[in-house]
Amino acid sequence: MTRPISAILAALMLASCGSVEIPGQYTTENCQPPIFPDYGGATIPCNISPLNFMLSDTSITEVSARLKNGSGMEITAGGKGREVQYKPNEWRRMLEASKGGCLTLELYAAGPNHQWKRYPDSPIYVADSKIDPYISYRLIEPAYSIYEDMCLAQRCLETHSESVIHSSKITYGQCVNCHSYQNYNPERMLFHKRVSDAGTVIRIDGHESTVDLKRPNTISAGVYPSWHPRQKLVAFSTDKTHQMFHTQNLNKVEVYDTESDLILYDVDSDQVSVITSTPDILEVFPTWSPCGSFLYYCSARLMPGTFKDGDNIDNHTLIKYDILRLGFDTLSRTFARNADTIYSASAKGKSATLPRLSPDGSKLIFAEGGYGCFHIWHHDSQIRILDLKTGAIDSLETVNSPEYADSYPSFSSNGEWIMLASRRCDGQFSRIYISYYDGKKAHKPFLLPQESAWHNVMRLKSYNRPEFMTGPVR
Amino acid sequence: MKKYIICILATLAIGMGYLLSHSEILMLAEYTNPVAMSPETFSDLMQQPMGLLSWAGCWIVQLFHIPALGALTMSALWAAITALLIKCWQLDKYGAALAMLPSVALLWSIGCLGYWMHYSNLTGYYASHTLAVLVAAIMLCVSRKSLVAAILSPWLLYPAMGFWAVALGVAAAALLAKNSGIRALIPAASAILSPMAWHTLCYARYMPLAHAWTAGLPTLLINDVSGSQMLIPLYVCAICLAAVAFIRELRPRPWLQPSIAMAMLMLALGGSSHSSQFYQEIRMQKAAVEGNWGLILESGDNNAELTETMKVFYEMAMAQTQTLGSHGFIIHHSYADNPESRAIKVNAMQMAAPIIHYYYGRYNISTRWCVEVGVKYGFGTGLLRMLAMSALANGETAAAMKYREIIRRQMFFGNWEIPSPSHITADFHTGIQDRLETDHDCDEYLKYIATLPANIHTKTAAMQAMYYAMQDRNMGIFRAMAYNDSLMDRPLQRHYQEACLMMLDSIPQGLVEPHVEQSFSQFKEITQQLQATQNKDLIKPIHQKFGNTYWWYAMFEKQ
Repeated sequence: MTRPISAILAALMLASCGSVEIPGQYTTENCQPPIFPDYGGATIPCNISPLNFMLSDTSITEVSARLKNGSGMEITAGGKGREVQYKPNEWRRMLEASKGGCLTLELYAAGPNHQWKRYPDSPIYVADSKIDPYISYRLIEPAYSIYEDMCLAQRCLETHSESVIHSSKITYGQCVNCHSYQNYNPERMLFHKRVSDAGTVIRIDGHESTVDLKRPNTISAGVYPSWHPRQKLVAFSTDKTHQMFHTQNLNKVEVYDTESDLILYDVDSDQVSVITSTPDILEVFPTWSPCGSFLYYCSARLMPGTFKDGDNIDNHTLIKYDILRLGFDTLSRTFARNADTIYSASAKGKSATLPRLSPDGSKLIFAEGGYGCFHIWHHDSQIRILDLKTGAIDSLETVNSPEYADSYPSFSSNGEWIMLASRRCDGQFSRIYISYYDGKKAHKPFLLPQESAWHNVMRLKSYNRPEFMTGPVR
Repeated sequence: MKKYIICILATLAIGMGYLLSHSEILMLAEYTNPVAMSPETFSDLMQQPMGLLSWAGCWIVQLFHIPALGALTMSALWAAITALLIKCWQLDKYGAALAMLPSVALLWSIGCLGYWMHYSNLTGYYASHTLAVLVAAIMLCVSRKSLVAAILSPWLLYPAMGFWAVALGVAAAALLAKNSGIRALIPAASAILSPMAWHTLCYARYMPLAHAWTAGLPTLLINDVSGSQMLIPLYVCAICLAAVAFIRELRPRPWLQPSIAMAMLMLALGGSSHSSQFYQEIRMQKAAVEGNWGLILESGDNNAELTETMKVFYEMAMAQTQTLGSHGFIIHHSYADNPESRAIKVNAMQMAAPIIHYYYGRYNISTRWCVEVGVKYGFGTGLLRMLAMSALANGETAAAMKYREIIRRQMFFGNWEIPSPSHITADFHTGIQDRLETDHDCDEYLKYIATLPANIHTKTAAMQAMYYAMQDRNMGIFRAMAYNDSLMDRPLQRHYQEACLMMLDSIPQGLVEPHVEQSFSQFKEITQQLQATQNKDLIKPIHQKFGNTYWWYAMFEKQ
């Protein structure tokens, strides 16, 4: 219902734009243009939707932008107001013609006195690589215990189109979370529904079922999922999760487990088996290697004095997770007896969470903070890449924000794009950032483009658990 | 139309009269109505039927910022509905009174809500149903002449009108019953079938089928208490749209029709009356967000009975103006029970919590309250302002600017600037040490106040703690404060001096002035006389001389 109306509005807007004139007379500004989002210097996929932006200087009343490539092709956009919105067809043609090259953004702005100024040109690099055409995420306010209207949504990265996969509006009081796909395949997905009409919804090749993953020998139903890349198996954590709230600290919330284990769910037989269940050790965030022969996960030993008064945490900074790996025999479907420590964050006084492998299995990307497991609320959380062959850590300085939480990293299906959730926009609402990874280094990330840059300001929901997909969920 | 002008003007006058005399309702509607003026919220609203009119309703609610403008707008819409229905039903000058029934019911639907306004997601509600009935009235006029229009209207208008498209179909059937015979049932059938069809086409992802016929009506549910009775006026309005056509056919006596209208008006006004404290709380809430402490103090001084929420706002105003010690025990209030909020099992403090936590320096907790309330009931300009203020006070400038930008896109807030916290608030904040609280702690504001001494590092906090210790006659806490030299002014404010004389065995030098000591001696003498003689005639002169002191409170009120 909303798509036709949005399309009509977009068409009206574009029709009203007309052609944009580039001013002939202007003064030259030395400072970088105050644009939001800041796309200058970013490397973008050759199939990404238009990177529309606005100038954040409120005194500006007109803007004119010209985007040129190395072979003389150019497009213009702008008009009255502060927004720059490219025509989608022109943008697509420009990107197609600029693969592997560099675009130059010329930006002109004028105030009420119609005096134009030109900012220094900004480069935008167009990679020769495509990005997965879809992502999905949960839209949820950054609340703490109340939820009302949340949904799993998907977004086409080649257009600005967003649609709903599942909305909690359908059932009063429902929570939906932890959507997950097998090998980026939207035909094989699952998500949890909690509280009302509860269960784990599993969709495989057009068939949908809802299962209860809580079994007598597990501490909870399945929580954080990870599909085996080849078999109809899903590893889950099971958790007893709590939260407490800081009265002063800007980290605001501490979410922690008092117990957590790992289980394996066989979709065909509806059987749950326990992978690990070790007293005083928290095991969480399972993720499979691309070959399916290893299960990576995070593990933390509970130190004495961590909790007081039952489940109330007393010394939250004591909980530090390392990344371990457990071998898996794909034929017998059994795990090795002992796990190897792949990355000891605790030895550095840190905590590593949310590990994900690159599609070629050579890199491990994860979030790292000072302590704990819920890093999206920790200002010091940053993402890292571990080279599994050399053991070297890439601190991804060009990707991380110095002041705000960066978390939930993942690789695209071709391994050339990194996606993360970050609160760097305003410190409160997480947004999706994408960075080009050429195998050696990560490039400047860019904010998920929207049809209007105001979207990022006006939307009062966070983008939670972004996942790449090779197509849309139907 | 001239002969009907009385009814049209009467509708206008009733609407203006009620809304202007209860302008707090408009204030609260504007404060709580979710901000919807962006393409994103438009898209969200359009996911369900009546989304378009909810969005339009949100636009109109912005006008409530100026109560007279809001009242005039709503009353004009109601008068227009009356005028259209007179034409549609071809009523005579007596029957025209019946055309007022839907408008009166719409007024009732706003006035009856009471505390549900604080605790419900009522996006555009205050105007959207009026707009829907207006559209229904227009379509009834068209349907009177066109059976095709009557049949198509529920189909075409269901996405915009939801429940009211169903009501329209039934009303059109009633309107056409006499002239179209059995064919008049077709619009009614359209009204029944169109929700099902639209649900299958568009809305299955967002709404259960059972809700399709009442789509657009709010869900009023707090904890396990249902507020469905608040929807009675809307159902009455819908019934009137159909019933008046039948009543007209019965050709009632001339005097009966205005009588019915009058009865409906009495019912509506009766169902819309609330305690004076309900309205005072709204004024205080608005004043607190705007830092208008004078208004709150005046309101507290002029009301003998305070609800718990009013008491907290009043005391907060005294804290902000540093008059706890000079004003806190001058006026003695009784504390009103609040059956309206008690009936919906809500702690009335929850309405005030985001504001209270902010002004007592607990910015994190204020932010949390704002977000939780916003998630549940929508982000209105009130909550967004508190979010902006808490973010700015907390040093979260980027977040503060984001909220400010959203607020500035609302009508009448184009130049709104975020006020910085007062030095009192900043002082409270300084004194707070970081600790982790559970969910439960956040809800128990009064427990926080009781634990204030654990956070006392500043004079501001000390004065607050002493005030509450004096209220509870908690000598232990009072003494701990009074004997902390670094936190005491010399001399103290009057009431603190009075309490020192009552609660301290030895009084540190300079805290209490000689004339206060003298006055206390006089008080002791007369009260000892009272105790000895049990002569109740002494109470009046004691009250006359000492009624505005802490001593009176401690000895006579607190008992």
